[in-house]
Amino acid sequence: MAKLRLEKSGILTTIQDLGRPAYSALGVPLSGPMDKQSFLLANHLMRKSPADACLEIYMGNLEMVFDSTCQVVLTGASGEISCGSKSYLTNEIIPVQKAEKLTLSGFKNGQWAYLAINGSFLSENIMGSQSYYPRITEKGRLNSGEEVHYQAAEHSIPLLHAKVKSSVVSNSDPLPAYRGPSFSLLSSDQQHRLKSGTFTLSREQNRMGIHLEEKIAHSLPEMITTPVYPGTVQLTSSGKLIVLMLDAQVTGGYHRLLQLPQRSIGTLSQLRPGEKFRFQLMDLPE
Amino acid sequence: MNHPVQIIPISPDILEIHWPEKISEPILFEILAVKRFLHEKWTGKIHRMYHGYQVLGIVLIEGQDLATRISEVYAILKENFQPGYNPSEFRTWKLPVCYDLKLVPALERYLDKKSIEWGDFVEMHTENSYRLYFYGFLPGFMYLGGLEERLHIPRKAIPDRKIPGGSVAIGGSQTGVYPMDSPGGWYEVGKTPIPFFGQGELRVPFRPGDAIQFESISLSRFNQLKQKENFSWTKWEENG
Repeated sequence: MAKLRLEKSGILTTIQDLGRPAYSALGVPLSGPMDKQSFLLANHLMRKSPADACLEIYMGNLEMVFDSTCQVVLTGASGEISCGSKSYLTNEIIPVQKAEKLTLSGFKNGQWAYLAINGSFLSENIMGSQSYYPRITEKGRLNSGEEVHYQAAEHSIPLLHAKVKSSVVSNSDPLPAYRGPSFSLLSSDQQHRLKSGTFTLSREQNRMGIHLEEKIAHSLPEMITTPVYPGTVQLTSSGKLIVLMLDAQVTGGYHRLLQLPQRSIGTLSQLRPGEKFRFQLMDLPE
Repeated sequence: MNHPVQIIPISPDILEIHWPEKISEPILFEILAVKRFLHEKWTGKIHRMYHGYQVLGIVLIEGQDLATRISEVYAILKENFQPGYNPSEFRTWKLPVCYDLKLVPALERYLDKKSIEWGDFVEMHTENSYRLYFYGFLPGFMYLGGLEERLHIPRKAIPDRKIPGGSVAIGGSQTGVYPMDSPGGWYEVGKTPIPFFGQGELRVPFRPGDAIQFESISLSRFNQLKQKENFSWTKWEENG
């Protein structure tokens, strides 16, 4: 069994796979990658199953040393990547020699990156998943000086491959979103704001949710608890807007104004505090 | 079905069934029946399914035609769907709880606020069973219905930083058990020696629809049960 050692862990580095869907009814958050598209791309480039575990890295600033030869790839958010004396690009397969150090600078673009390995990460599997979730898994995050065990694959992947362009580009395209159950309770002015207003990501964000700067003052009645999902846009009683993310609780008592589909969740996760975006309201079959 | 329901598409992969917005046991039993029916009928189509008091959420495995699924639900519910839930399927579980002030000094705060004597409180809190509607908020956190009105208390304006796992607590019109350490705005009133999690699984056998009755135990019994590696629910039920 081989190990990689995190000399510098960055702000929040975790192991993520596709989470714990079988345990939602017991109140267990789904978990899984904040940007699923980039996560799936990492596994795809490593010719692995879509459900395999990757390292999820928030904002970069990482140094890790591998104790055996292997291949890795990074997708999603991007910065400078170097290994040994060479530099590499996002989505490019990186051959790592024994005892070589892989260094990621702070990310220049996006927030969340995925590191897949040609082989597999070995870590505790709790309720059918390796995804870290504090108090379910022993660890909530990887700290500097800690190690991750892995098994390198026997066969290496040929490096002569067409390059895949980096997928995370800060774009100003509006985020597709669907109207939530409480949308129709808003005044037409408030509905119009959601349709065409600009929203700003606040600093208050983590794997559970992202708070927006803008508020919608309202006097809607209190609700009884309903299911919520990653991508649910909640309106709190004080008028705050919160977009629930992958580690969100499974039920909530706030009004649900919008629901983001998978892709929008990933796009939003890569925007940084202070960045602005708009929603594009979509229709569903009746 | 005895209640009018609405089918609400939420996203291309999520649909919901809404019952009238109230907390009621007949609604809970209908939700559980529909959930079980769909679980069998839509094998391989459902990614996950869970509910609140009156909303059943169904997340489909990606790439299905939502309109088809919606019309299937309409057809099922129109066919005069018979919940057919046998009340005897639901069990009443006794959960041992220690209310000793030496173990739970925080109970004093609740008793002061409510001006209730310790003995009267324990009697009231253990008198009736509470219906388990669903799990939410935290892994293994039970939404229990049926707290006597005399025991209601507004939640703390500033939540405590840490309510220890195993705490039995009251907040608003609800009572429940914190399965793990968590910030929270409820008042601690007791403590159960039974761990909710272990070996990577939820260890308590309670299912939505079941009833939970708290059973007052002494501090020495608490310590005794705390030592046990495996709590036997059947033995507990038999011996009390």
